[in-house]
Amino acid sequence: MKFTGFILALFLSLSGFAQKNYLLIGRNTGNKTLEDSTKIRTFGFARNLNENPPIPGPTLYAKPGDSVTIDFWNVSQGASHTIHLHGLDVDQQNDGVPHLSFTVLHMEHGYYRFKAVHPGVYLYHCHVLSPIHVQAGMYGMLIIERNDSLEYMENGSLKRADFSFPILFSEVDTNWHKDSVLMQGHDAMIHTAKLPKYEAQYFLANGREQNSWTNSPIHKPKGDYLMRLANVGNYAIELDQLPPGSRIVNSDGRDLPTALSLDSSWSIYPGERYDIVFTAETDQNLRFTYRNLNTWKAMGQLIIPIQLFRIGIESNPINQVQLFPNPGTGSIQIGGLNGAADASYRVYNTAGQLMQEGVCENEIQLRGLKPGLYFIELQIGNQVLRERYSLSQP
Amino acid sequence: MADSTWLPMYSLSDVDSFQKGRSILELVRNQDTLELWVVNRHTQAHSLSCVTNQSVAAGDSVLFTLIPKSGDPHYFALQATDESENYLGLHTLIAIKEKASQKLFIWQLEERSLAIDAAILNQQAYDFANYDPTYFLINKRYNPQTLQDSFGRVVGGVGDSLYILVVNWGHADHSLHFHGYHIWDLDGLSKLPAPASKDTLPVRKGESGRLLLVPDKTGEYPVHDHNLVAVSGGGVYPNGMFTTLLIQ
Repeated sequence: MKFTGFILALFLSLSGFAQKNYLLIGRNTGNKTLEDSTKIRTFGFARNLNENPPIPGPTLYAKPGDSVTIDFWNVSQGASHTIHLHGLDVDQQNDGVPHLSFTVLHMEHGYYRFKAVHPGVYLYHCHVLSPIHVQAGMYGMLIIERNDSLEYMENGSLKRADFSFPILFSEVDTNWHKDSVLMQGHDAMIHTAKLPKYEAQYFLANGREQNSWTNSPIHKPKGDYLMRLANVGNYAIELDQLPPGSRIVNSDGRDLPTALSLDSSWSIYPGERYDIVFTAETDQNLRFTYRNLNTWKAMGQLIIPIQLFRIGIESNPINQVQLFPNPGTGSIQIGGLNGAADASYRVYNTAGQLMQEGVCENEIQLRGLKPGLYFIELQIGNQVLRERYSLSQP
Repeated sequence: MADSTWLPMYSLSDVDSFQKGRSILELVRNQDTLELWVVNRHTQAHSLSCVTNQSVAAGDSVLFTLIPKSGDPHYFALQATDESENYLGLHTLIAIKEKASQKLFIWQLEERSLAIDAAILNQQAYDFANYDPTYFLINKRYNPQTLQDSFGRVVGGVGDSLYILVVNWGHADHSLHFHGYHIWDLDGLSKLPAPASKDTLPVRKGESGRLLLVPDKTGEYPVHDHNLVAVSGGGVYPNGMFTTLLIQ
């Protein structure tokens, strides 16, 4: 028996498979300020009770073979929620459809479990009154990556990009963010709702509008890019201005046996996901048009610039980094970081005490800190950025 | 409709009364021959197309003879040649199976706009430039009536090869999302090299194609338009383009 146990333990330690645990907190009390200063109420998935739930929710990561558990804690003032694991082909119990799986009531925990199998991009979102709760902000990306975020399969061969970045498209119709629309059906058994006419006025990618992308573009060197796209909105996203040589290598979490070259436009319909690779030799403006599925009219447009720099000659990457909003309530977006693999941060109070530290991707979430002034130190390689940050009440 | 809204609707039915979505026929390729008599119970003449075009006067009937052979598409469309009649539902299909035992399900997608309905009934001009439908249908039904649809409700077992023929008769694009499974897009609806494995795929207006589902587990899993506004009928969620797969 001892021998058997040893063999099992050795296998597990060598396999690289992990148990991944995520905590997502469902909130109905979020808010978002749009670029024209319009404020809307939002729902969302937060990582701690102090956090204004971000739009989109946190991106979850796993590797093939990982066992993933999402502890969903519903702190939503009476409303029920679920998590649908979009595209992961989970069993009925974990599918997150209220009347076919289970509903998580106010102050309850629900546990969603799945085994990560196919690398690719997926979504998670609430499936209670789904048109309303998704519009409200209860969605995020889930990425199953190979050894790291840069690897992909093309024509049956494992390849590696120099950079990768995810983009999640969505829209906002402010009429859908009124309490009269958002706050219906708190009874867990009520799953019907009256929907207003949908006509989005704001067009988001990773929760960001055009000015944010213009002011804080993707800033990286020349190289091979892996762009991971997903659409959780109600419009189709037409890509009609992509770099020459762009290819689709994966869709809906399945590698294409043969990459598809994009010679003209391509559309990402609601719920679809794509991995697109390309080589950026010059600056690019990626153009995404939001199209109404009933009329194919262009309802909005986002241009995401890629501005290239030459390492060590033209640019100092840390100078491109911006922390915003500041002042803020503890959810800090980092613009211009663009997935730098070695970025870390430290948060100090005015007495110089280290209050929080960690590695960062595109945002920092302050946890358990009192409102006041802090100093945030962001380090990329051997370069350091220090900024004053004013934490206000959520 | 189930919500008591009255929509003008043409129907082709296999019984001598008005029935919605009761006209889907199936043939086996290289085996069956169909002599299809279409009887016009309406008070006006109609021009119909099914491989050939024929006009049928009020109270009269016409014969279409269909012999599905190799190289023919996966269905014959029987539809009005007039756009407004087609919009009002004067269409159906004769599906072609590769063999008699093939498990084939049919999803005819379409939408309805009350404004267009009114314009047609009042013989006013209309166009689809500002199309704003409020009913989103599968085989002329919306959820939960879709669950009672013997043509469209997918019922099968683990390991079965379940084919779904999707035809978009409507004027809007739809984005069908499958819970629980990836399906094979056999005819390139996704525009990816066929067959592509997808859990969400577009069905653009005027397009059609076959999907293959081979379930690997039991359960009941939704399929719905992921333009979530289309999962409503008359503005009420979830009375829209939603059905479930029942795998036993």
